[in-house]
Amino acid sequence: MSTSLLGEHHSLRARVDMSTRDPVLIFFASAVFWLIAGSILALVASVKMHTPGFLVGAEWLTFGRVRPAHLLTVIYGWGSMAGIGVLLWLQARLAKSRLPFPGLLVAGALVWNLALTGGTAQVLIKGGTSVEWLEFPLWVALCFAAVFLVIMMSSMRLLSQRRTKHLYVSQWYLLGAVLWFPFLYLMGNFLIHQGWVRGVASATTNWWFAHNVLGLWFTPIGLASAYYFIPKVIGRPVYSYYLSIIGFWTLAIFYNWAGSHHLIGGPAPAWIVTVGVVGSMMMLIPVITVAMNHHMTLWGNFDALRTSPTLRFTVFGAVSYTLVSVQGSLTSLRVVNETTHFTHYTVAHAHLGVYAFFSMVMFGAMYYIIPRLTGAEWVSAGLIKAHFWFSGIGILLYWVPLSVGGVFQGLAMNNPEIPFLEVVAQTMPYLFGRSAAGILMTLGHLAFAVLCINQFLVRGRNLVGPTLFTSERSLLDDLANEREEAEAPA
Amino acid sequence: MTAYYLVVYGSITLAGASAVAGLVWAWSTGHFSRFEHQATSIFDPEEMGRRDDGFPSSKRAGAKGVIG
Repeated sequence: MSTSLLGEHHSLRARVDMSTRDPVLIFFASAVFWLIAGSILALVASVKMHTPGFLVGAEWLTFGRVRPAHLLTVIYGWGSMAGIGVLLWLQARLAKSRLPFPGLLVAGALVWNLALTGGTAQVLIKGGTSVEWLEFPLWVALCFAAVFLVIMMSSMRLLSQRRTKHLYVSQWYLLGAVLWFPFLYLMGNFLIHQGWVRGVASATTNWWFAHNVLGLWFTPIGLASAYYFIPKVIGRPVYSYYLSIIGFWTLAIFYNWAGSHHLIGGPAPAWIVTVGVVGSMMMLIPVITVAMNHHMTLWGNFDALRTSPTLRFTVFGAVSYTLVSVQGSLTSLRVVNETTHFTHYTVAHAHLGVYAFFSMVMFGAMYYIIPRLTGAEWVSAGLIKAHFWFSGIGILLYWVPLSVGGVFQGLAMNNPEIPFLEVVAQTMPYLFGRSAAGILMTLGHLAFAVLCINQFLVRGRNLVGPTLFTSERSLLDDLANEREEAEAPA
Repeated sequence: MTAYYLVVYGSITLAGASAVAGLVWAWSTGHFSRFEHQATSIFDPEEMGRRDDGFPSSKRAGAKGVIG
């Protein structure tokens, strides 16, 4: 290939990246802010679980307000804003075309932030709607919908002006997310907040919505990201493209049925709950295909996990996707759910999905994307390591004890001879562990925030190589030593 | 009630018909003939086997072979 053609590709890639810079960086900067705010709210709510007198004097800091404020800021602030940033960048890169409407998207990010700030303040000051994941008032939902209209316009324009003849697997997932979520969000808000459905139908709609936020919004963005960055970092195509199409369509067909398994034990018609259980079990098909595909793509390239921050975070997230999905399918079974329902097990499961899978994949994506937009490398590999280990160990310390504690809690609650207060007292060690894990994760987020601030100030501009966990020189030395040891006579 | 059935079953019929039409279109336009090859589309030609997407520093330091 001629030098001029090589340069043309490189410069096209750089031009496309630059066209996304302002909107993507604003979405990312906002996401990092909401990540820290959401982490602080999470810590306050967690401490209140084992020390109810903590910050008891202020009405706006009571558990019933702090907990939904935490959930809303991490879902619509951190998760959604990081997800939108990754979605916009990936779509432009994969279409090999400049991002349309950058000004409108910047304005959209500002509107999203204003609505989120106003909505969160309203939840803290006046209280929310008490509908899980739909605690914001309707005006906030309408603001989000307006921003989504711009994102949809941008995505459709990118689709029509793309320079590629086909759509890569990540584009299928991203288009799915862009089309599914606005419909889901508006339907959930209008049906419930406008009183179009009531009683059992309202609860069914609520869990249809809440579960699909994970499955039809975060999951497609997370998988799109993993399908792009794993092959990209190791320089090898996806193991099986056919498996990827099976994974996508089975997700699209089965996931939206799964939410009603949350109503097991409730007054909902049995067939609705059974449909949810069946949908959840069928989800094993896309999960297994995606897991096989990611694992086989990485096969033989595990060494890259030692060097690349992007790959390490992304693979941690991809493995967690398999884990949380299989756990979710099994939990949907009535025989399991009758023990785990209404316990801390469910909370642990939700964090495994939103944090260990989605958030870790988003961290990985941001470690890749941001330097390409600011033109500066990350200033400290040590801080990236700190972020990874605090977050990784933090979520494992959160998930394992709380899941085990949740099962014990459920078994005790199902025993009528054990008084409820005794069950509450039994959960105390797990709740303290939860707060300790939360502190670890927050420390990781602070390290990430420091890194991002340095990126936005372009402090790594003069570094001469990518910021890796292990420098290339020492990696090569390690490999040479390993080879010598293997070849040495016993 | 008739309107209800028309909307529900009409939607299912339309969705099914569009899925079949999409498959026929994809097959007839050769979409599946080089399907697996599409997995390589995320790499620009100069990236294959070299992994030089270490932008921004790779432009100054040359291809690193390992990217972050």
